[in-house]
Amino acid sequence: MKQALELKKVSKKYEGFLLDQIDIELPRGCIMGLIGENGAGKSTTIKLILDLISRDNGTIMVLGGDNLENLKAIKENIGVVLDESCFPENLNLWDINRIMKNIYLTWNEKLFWDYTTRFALPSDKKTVKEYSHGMKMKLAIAIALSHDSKLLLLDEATSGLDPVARDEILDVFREFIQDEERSILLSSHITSDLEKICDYITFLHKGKVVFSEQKDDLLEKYGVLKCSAEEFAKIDSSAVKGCRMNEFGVQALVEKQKMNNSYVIDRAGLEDIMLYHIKEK
Amino acid sequence: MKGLLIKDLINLKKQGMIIGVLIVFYAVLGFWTHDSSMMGAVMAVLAAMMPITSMAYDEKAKWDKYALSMPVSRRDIVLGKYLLGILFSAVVFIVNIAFNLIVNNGESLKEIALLSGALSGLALVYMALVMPVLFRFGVEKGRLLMMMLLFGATGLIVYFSTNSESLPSAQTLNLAAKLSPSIVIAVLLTSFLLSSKIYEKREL
Repeated sequence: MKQALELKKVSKKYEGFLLDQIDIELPRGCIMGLIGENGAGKSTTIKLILDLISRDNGTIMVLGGDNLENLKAIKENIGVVLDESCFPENLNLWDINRIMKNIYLTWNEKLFWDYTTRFALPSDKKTVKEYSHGMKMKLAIAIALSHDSKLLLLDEATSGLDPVARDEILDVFREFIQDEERSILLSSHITSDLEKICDYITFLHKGKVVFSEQKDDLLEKYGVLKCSAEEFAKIDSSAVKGCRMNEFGVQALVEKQKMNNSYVIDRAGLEDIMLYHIKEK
Repeated sequence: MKGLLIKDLINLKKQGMIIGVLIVFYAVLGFWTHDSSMMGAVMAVLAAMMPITSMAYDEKAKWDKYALSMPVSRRDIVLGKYLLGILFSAVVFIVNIAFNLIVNNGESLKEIALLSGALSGLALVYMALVMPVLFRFGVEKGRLLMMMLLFGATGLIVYFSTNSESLPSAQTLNLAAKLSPSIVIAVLLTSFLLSSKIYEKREL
């Protein structure tokens, strides 16, 4: 089994929204970033993987098993952080440790206390109610890492954290992925974070996969071209992925290979690639 | 499963204070008036309310979808709530027997056990009736239906007790007492299967 996660032609229809036949493959040992605007289908995809909502079509394989068949056992090896804190407010760290010890067979108490110390979570009787948003996120991440997780599903896990904390969390993810059996799927708006750690990027837009490729290939493939409107008119339009025109000229995302060398092409960041892809040509 | 129950119990502990005050109040009242019926009824209502309260907490925290990301099945979640209800009904059963023995108005142990059993049984049946509704609509939306169910049941009891020609004979009562445990179990089981089926399809 090479893929940690395999979605094939997965669809889900809601009133006013369609997740349309999406295909995603996350190889073992890799980190995949899921990008897209609000409402593009990122959370829906993660919910479908966990079977929190029923899908209309397609198959989903998680860690080699069909997610409709033996999900309970598979979930022992999944760590999940959802986009909102879901802890009952009356619990403190000790309570949570006691509960998780009785839920996960592979719960690692020592690891849990290590992470909570590292994340500076209050080990006194402070309850979740008194936690800040960032602390709740850190708590969820600590739990996701404190059992035998082979796959992390993180829905906006780093949003709401300050840059220093985000960097700290990214380091934790890098450590986690040292073991080649492990993989991470994380959705985020913060493309700079994804650019730092992801191997693969999947871009969802209005319920469709726009692309799902290796990050390095993407960054290699595209560039930002700045030129005048006259120059732009001469360019092979198949090379242009999207453009932005103003009175000073044109900025366009282009495929570098299809361009000849007479143009100056800047490096395209993930954010450029994402924004230009959804701009009409 | 055990983890889910522990979570519910810890979560409900916060209500312990209020419940404690309630129990002490009605216990004192019971001693004073040498009448244990109020205490029994309050205890039964508390038992029936506990799983519902815990579901309200879960709903507020959006716990269910998080719990389902752990090695927990939907059936476990449903079963957990029923077990919680059964646990509280059992505790109430024991407390009611003990309280009646202390207040003692000359009833026999058998009478006391029968009365306490009936109260816990009622709590269980009420739980069995509301649970499928709550698993379908959630506590917030299901509240109205729950109330209607409660009033409907009260109305029926009042109707039958005022309109029946005579009191049922001792023989009928005896038979009812013998049959009711199996009826309660059957109702609970049906309710559990129905809730499981409903919850299996719930989108979270």
